[in-house]
Amino acid sequence: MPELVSPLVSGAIWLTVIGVSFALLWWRATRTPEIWAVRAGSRRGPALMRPVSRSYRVRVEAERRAEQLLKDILAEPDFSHLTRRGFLEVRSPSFPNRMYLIPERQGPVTVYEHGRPIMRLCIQCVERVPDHDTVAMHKLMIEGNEQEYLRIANRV
Amino acid sequence: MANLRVLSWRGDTKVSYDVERAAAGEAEQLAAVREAERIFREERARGATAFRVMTGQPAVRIDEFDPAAEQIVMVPRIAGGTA
Repeated sequence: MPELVSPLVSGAIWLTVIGVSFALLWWRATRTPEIWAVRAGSRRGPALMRPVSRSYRVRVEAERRAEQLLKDILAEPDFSHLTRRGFLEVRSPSFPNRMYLIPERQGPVTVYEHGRPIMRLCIQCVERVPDHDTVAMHKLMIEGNEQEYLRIANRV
Repeated sequence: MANLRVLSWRGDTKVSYDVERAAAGEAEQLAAVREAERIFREERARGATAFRVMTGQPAVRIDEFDPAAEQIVMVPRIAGGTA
């Protein structure tokens, strides 16, 4: 009897694995998340490839544009400093001896006074933007609208 | 050539216009300036903050569209986050 059951059980397991695999592939091929559907519009293409490749291309292009914008608004030494050391220093326009250290990737901004860290601020665009655009946002807000920036930011 | 740039998930959206040619009455440039002004108003209404930017100089916040600015960058509405 065990000799008969064993192949049956083994076969059933294999059938289940194959069935689940096909179900997952079918689900992945037919499902188009709403946000991608909006961006993809009515374009046709292989269902399995379209969302992933389009999303990747859009992200790469967005990062490239954001980097270019940052190069356009920063002095060359500041941009080099950012890429070399991973953060941008922005001097406070209203607090003497205060410096903001903005990370190259999204994350909290560290505030220094007299060379010592005094707090970390967390603030972000409501709409998701590329990393370099976030750096631009911090720099512009600190330089041009510091009081509002500090009012909105969360201390972490 | 002046630019209006609006930060977005695409990186940024840019509208370029030549103020001198617009002042001289060139229809295409007049339309570009009007379009930039329209986008400026629309983004401000959505909560964006606008800055006049010159490379290597501190940014200046502006509340009204300034066609004479070399570059205007608009930052979408911001909110406090968590680490």
